[in-house]
Amino acid sequence: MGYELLQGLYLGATTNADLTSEAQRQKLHVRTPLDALVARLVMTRDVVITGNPGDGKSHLVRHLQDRGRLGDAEVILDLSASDDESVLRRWHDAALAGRRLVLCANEGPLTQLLARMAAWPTLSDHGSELMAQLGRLVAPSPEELPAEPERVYLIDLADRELVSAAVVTDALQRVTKPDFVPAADWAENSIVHVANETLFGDASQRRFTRVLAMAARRANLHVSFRQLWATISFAMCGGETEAQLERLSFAFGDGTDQYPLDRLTSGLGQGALIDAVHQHADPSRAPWPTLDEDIWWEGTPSTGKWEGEAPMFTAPSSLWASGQQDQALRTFASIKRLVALQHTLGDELLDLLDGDAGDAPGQSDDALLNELMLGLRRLYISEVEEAAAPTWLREGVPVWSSLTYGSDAASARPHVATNAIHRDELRVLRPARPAWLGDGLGPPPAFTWLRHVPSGASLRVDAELARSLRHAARVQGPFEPPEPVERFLARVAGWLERQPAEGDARVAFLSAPRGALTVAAIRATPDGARYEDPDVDE
Amino acid sequence: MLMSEDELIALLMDRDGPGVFTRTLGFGTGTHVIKGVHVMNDLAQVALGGRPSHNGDLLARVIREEKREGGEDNSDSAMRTASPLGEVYGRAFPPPPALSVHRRTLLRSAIGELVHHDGGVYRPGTSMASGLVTHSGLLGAEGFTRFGVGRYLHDVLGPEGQERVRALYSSATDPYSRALAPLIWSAELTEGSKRAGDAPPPSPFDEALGARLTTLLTHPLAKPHILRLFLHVATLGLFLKVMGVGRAGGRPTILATTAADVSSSRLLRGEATASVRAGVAALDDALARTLAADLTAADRATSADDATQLLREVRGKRASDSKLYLPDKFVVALAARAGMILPRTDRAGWGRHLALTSDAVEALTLMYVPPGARPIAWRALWDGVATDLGLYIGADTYGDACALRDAGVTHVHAEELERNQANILALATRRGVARHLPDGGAEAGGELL
Repeated sequence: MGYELLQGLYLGATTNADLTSEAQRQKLHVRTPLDALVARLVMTRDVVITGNPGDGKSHLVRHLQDRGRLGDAEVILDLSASDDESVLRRWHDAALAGRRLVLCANEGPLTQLLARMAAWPTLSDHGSELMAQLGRLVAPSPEELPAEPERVYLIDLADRELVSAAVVTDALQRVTKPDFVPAADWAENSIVHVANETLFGDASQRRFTRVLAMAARRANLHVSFRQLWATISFAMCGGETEAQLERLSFAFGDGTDQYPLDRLTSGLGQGALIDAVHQHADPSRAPWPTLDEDIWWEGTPSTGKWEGEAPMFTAPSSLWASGQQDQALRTFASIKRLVALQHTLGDELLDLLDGDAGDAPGQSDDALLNELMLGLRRLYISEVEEAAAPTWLREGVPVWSSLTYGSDAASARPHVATNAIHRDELRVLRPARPAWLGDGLGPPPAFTWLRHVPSGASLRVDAELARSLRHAARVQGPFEPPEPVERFLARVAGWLERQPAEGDARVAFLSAPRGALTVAAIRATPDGARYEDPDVDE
Repeated sequence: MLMSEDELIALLMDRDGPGVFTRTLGFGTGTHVIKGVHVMNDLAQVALGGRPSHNGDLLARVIREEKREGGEDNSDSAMRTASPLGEVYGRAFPPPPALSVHRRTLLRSAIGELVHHDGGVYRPGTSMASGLVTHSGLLGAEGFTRFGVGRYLHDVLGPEGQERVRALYSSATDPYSRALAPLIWSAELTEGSKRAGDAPPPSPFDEALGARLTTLLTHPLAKPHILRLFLHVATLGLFLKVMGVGRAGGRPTILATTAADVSSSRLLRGEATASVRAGVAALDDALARTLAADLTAADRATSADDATQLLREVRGKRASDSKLYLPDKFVVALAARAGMILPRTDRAGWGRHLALTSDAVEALTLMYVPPGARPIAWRALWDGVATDLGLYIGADTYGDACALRDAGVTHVHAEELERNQANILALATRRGVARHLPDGGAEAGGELL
C-alpha cells in the first residue's frame, strides 16, 4: 500500500479527501499553522474555507474532525455537493442552536450562495461579511483590508503560500521512508529507492524546496497541495506503477538520468508545478564554467564534496569520445542536477539559477523602487540614449504613449512622452493580510505593487515582471515592453490628461522603445505653441 | 451569366447610387486597402462635423521634408513662404537660436515617424492625409470617407458615444496632442462625411455594439490607448456585422481563436474557418434576395437562386480579376491589418478565420465592465459577448458548441473549445485584464489589482 499511496499522489488519486481513509490522511497530513488557525477561529465565529480544487479544504477539515478539534460545529465538506437551500437551512439551524459552522466551498458556488443569503434573516449579515472579505484578504495596504468580521471568517486557500521549507520538508519527510519503497530485491535498483536516498537529508530537502519555490515564483503559479504532492510523487516514482517500476529496475544503468530532478525536468510529467520546474528551474541550465568543466571531464566537481555516498559516474567526455553524444549530454545534465541537490556546491549552483531570475528577497522598499524605476525607464530608453537625455527623462519614469491602428507590437511603435512620474509619486506596496489570519496562510505572496499614488493606478510586479524589468536594466538591444507596463502607463497618462496642463511643456519622441530619442521644449506664446531647443540645464 | 459583371457591379456597388451592399450594411465596401487610421479619421470627421479646411496639408508637408515627388518642395524655406500654412509653420518651428536647424530636422523626422507609422499620410492635396493624430486640428483630408464606415460607427454609437468621440478629438491634453501642439491648426470645418446611402434601420446587433463601444469610451485611459482599443473592437464589430447579415438580429455565430503565439489546433482552426464560411453563405443569401428584388423591380424578374448563382460566379473569380469588392473581403482586409485574421495569407486555400488580439480582448473586457465596476466572471463576459455580438470562444463549452452547430459548423470539438478559451484567458491574464479565481474560474475587469 505504501508505494501505491505514493504513486497515486501523482494524478491526485490518493489526495482526494473523499477517497482516503483516516489512516491515509494521517500518513500524508502536513502540519501547517492553518490547522491551529481554523481550530482557533471556529471557537468564536463560523468559518468558510474557499480555494482552488486540490488546495486541501476538505482534507484539512476532515483531519481536524478526525482529531476532534472542531467541537460540535456543523461541518459541510463541499458546498457543490449540496443544494443551496439545504446548506442555508443547516446553517440557519446551527445559528439558532448556537453552534458554529464550517463550510468548504469553491468561490463560484459560494458567490451564488451569498446571493441567496439575503433572504434568510438569520444569515443576511453573515452574507454581507463574507462578501466584504471575498477577494479582499490580500491587499496593497492594511487600510484596504476588510474590517474584522463579527460572525463569519473567510479563509481563502488561494492566498496560501505552500512552497515553503516547512511544508515541503514535512511532506518529504513523510514519504522518504522505507514504507514507500516496494519490499522486493529488485527495488534496490529502482528510481524510488534512489529518490528516497537523494531526498532524505536535510540539505537536499531544503534545496529541493528551493527548486520548487523558484519554479512556482517564475511561473507565477499558485501551488495547491494536490500539485505539490503530484510533483513529489513524480520526482520519486516517475508515475510508474509497481509493475512498471520492477520492469524498469532491470534497465537501471549507472544511475544517471534517474534522479528526482531528472524526472521533473524531463518534460514527461503532467501538472503545472512539474511544468514550471521543467521550464524555469532546471539547475543544469545555470551557467557555471568551472563546475561545467569539472563535470564534463571528470564526472564530478573538483571542489566541495558529495553529501552521503559519492556517486560514480562515467565522465560525459568519455561517453562523447566513444560516440555516445546523446548519453554524454544527458549524463552531464543529470550530474549537475544531482550536484544541486546533494553536493556542498548545490546552494551556490541554485544561487546562480536564482540569480538569473533576478529575485531579491528581503529588498527594502527604497531599493526595490529604485530598481523598478530604472527598469521601467530602460524598457524604453537605452542606456546610451539615456546618457544624453534631459533630467526629466533620466530621473523619473516617463509616461510613454504610442498609437497605431495596426498590429505592430509595442516594441515596433514610435512612442511619445510629455510627462514623467516623479519618484515621490510612486510607492512600493507589499501584500497585507488581516491580522486575524496571523501566519495561518504562510508568508505573504511573493509580489508587490508599484502604485502611482495620485492616480491610484497600480502595477502588479510579480516575479516574471520583476525579472523583465531587471533584465531591461542590464541588457542592450530591442526589448518588448510587457503589456501590463503599457497598461499601467496608459492609466497614469489617462489621469494626467484630466489634470490642468497650461503653459510650457517638454516632449520626447522615441522612434521605438530603445530606439532614437528626440527631445524638445514646447513654449507657449501668445500666438500659439512652438518647438524650442531644450533648456541647457536639462 | 444572366448579366455582365459590369452590370452586376453597378447594381451591387455604389456606381449609380447606393448599391445592394451599402443598402444592406449601411456602408460601402469598394476597397481592400482601407486601414484603421482611415476609419478613425473618418469617424472623427463625422463626429466633429467635417474636416479642417486646411486638409491636413501642414502636417503632410512637415513630415515630407525630403520628398520631391511631383515637384513638391517641403524644405524649410519653402514652408516658411507657403500660403497660408507658412505662418503656422514659422511659429511652430522658430528660426535659430530658439530652435537649431539640426533639432528642427530631427523633430520633423520624429513627428513623421509618429504620425505616419500606419502609412496614412501621403502628398498634400491627394485626400490621403490620415495621420495618427488625436486632435481635430491635426486631422486631414480622407478619401475613404466616401464609403461611410465612420458614419456607420458614429450612428451606432448614439448621442452619448458621439459626444465622447467629439470630446476626445477636441481636447489637447493627451501626450500626442501635447507633443504636436505647435502643429495644431484650428480651422473651420468643411465637407462633412456624406452618408453613403439610406442607412438600414439599426439592428439589435448595431444597438448592442454601439452601447458597448460607448462604455469602452468612458474608461479613463490615455487617449491614444483608448482610440486604439476602440478601432480594434470597431473593426471586430464591422467584421461581425458583415458576418451577421441575414441572421436573426443581425448577429453572426463566429468562433474566434487567439492571435497570440500559441498553436491552435488544426481542428479548431477548421471550426473557426467554417463559422466564417457559414457567415459568408448567409451573407450571400441575403445579398441575393435583395439583388433579386432589385432586378424584379427593374422588370428583370430574377429568382433569389439565380441571384445567388450570379454572386457565386463572381465570388469564384480571383480578386485581381474582378472589380467587385465583396463585403466579407472588405472586412477581412480591414481586420487583417489589425492582426485579427489568420492565416495572414490564404495561399493554401484553407480559408481564414477570426483570431483575437490582446488589444481586442482588453477592449471587449472594458466594453462589458464600466469604469469603477467590480470585475465580472469570465464566463459572464463571454456570455454577454456571444449574446450581443455573436462572437464565441468556447467559454461556455457546451452552449457554444451547440450555437456553432446550429449555425452550420459541423464537427465541433468540445475539448478544442475548452483549450481555446483557456488560451484566450491566458492572453487576457498576461494583459492584466483577467485573473484566475480560487475555484478554477476567472474574472475580468480593467482595474484588477
